[in-house]
Parts: sequence; structure tokens; C-alpha cells
Amino acid sequence: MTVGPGQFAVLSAAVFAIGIYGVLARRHPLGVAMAIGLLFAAPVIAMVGFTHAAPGPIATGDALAAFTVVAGSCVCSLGFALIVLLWRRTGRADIDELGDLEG
Amino acid sequence: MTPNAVAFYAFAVLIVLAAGAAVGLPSLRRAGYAGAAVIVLLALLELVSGAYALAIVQLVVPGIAVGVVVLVLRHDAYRELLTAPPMPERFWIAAPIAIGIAAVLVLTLAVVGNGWAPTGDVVRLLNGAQLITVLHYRAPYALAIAVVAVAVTVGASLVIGRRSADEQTLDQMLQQRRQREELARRRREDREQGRRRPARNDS
Repeated sequence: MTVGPGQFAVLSAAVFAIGIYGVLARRHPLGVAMAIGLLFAAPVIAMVGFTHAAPGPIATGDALAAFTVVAGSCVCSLGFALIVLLWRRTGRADIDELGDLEG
Repeated sequence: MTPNAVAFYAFAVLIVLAAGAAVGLPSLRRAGYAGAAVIVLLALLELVSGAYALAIVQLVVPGIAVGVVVLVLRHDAYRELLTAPPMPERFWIAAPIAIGIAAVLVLTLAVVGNGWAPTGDVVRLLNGAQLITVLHYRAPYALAIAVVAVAVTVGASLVIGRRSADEQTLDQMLQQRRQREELARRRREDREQGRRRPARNDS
């Protein structure tokens, strides 16, 4: 029994769908940030699969995956900083209530 | 290196379970543990697949971000942010959309099959190149941009998350106001009790 890029891609699709569910279902901003982290993790799985389970290893996929990991961490860090700022200013931790903010 | 099938399926099941727990558990603390488990499991999957350098990146970069988040959340002012009561989730809209996207992705991937993997000249040109080699020789500008992005993120996060002098003064004023209100409430309650006591003795 062998593992090809297809299996990695299906796993990636499953993780991406779970992340989408988290972004839409969660109402706490920290939960949404975690779900966004899953959205970034999904293509990493796919790229690892295309690189290492394909005939002929090409590390370009690894390079793309590494940049994705860095970008995902940056986005989640900035998101967390914004969540902390909003919490301090409004004392609210509900995405729906944050949508009602007025300038 | 083609990954071992048993190890891949074992890690795949664990990753899906951990990801499901990260978005499904009502307790944010437990969901955070599940999210951290996803990161570690991904790194292990990459190790099993032979992407050793990527596994290190996968552990180190998000690990630093998670460490900073944990440090901030341990601060007294932000404890309540983590212990917020669980709110009802919008299952009815999220589940159909997630299932639809998963179906589209799986269908597309099934149709394409192994066509995602590059073959022919590209494979011959780059065969055997490691991640470090690719980053150094083929993507030096992208690597530099990634490093700059990390530095800018750290700076921007610090600027966004900082507590300015105005906010510190405001926090102090709010705390003093809360203390005054608490004191006034206690005095009011004491007066109420004092008024009730003689009434009870009369009856």
C-alpha cells in the first residue's frame, strides 16, 4: 500500500474544510484565529505531499510550504494583537458584537 | 522519500481529530491545546515524509507565536478573554458551507489525480534539491521578504498590542471608579441593614 499526492491532497481538503467551519461557526475571536491557522495549515499538507510523495523530490514545494508557515504565523500574531486591543478597548469577545462597533 | 502508508494514515486521522477538536470544543483552553497538537502532528507528518527542514520550521515559527500568545494570556488583564463563557455556534450555516467546500475540493482532486505532481524536465532539473538549497539559490528574495515579514509582524504586533500612557491612565481611573462604586454599594447595604434591624425588634 503506497501513499501518493492524492492522499495528502484529500487530507489537506479535510483540514481546510474544518478550518472553514471554524471560521464561520466560532463567535469568539480567538477561536476564529485558531481556525484561520488551520486554513494556513491545509496547503502546507498538500505541498508536502506533492513534493515528497510525487515521483522525483522537488524541494520547491517545501520552500512554498515554509513561506506559508511563516505567513500563517504572521497573520495569526497580528490577529491576536488586534483581538487583545479590541478586548482592552471594548471588553467584548463576541465577533457579532464587534461588528456593531461605531467609530 | 515516500512516506510509510501506516504512519501517514495514523497521522492523518490524528490531525483531522485534533483539527476538529480545535474548532469544535467549547472550552477555548482545550481548543488551544488541540490547535497546538495539530502543529506538532503536522511537524511529525513532515518528518515521516522526509521534509526535515520544513518540520523544524513548522515547529519553531508557530511555536514562538504560540509562546507569545500564552505569555500574554497569562497576564491578569487578559485571563477573562480566555475564560469567556461558551457562545452558541452557527452550526446551521457553517456545516453546509464546509461540507460543500470539502466536496468540491475532493471532487477536483479526484478528477486531477496525480496530475498535480510535476514531471519531466522540471523533475530532472531540480531532482534531489533540498529545501535549504532551493531557498538559498532559487528563492533568495522570497526568503529575504519572509524574514522582513516576520520582523515587521513582530514590530506591528508590539505597536498594536502596546498599552499607551493614555490607556494606563484610563485603566487607573476606571479601577478607582469601580472601587468607589463598590464602597458606595457596601455603605448603602449597611444603611439598609441598619434600618431593617430596629423594625424587626419592634415587631
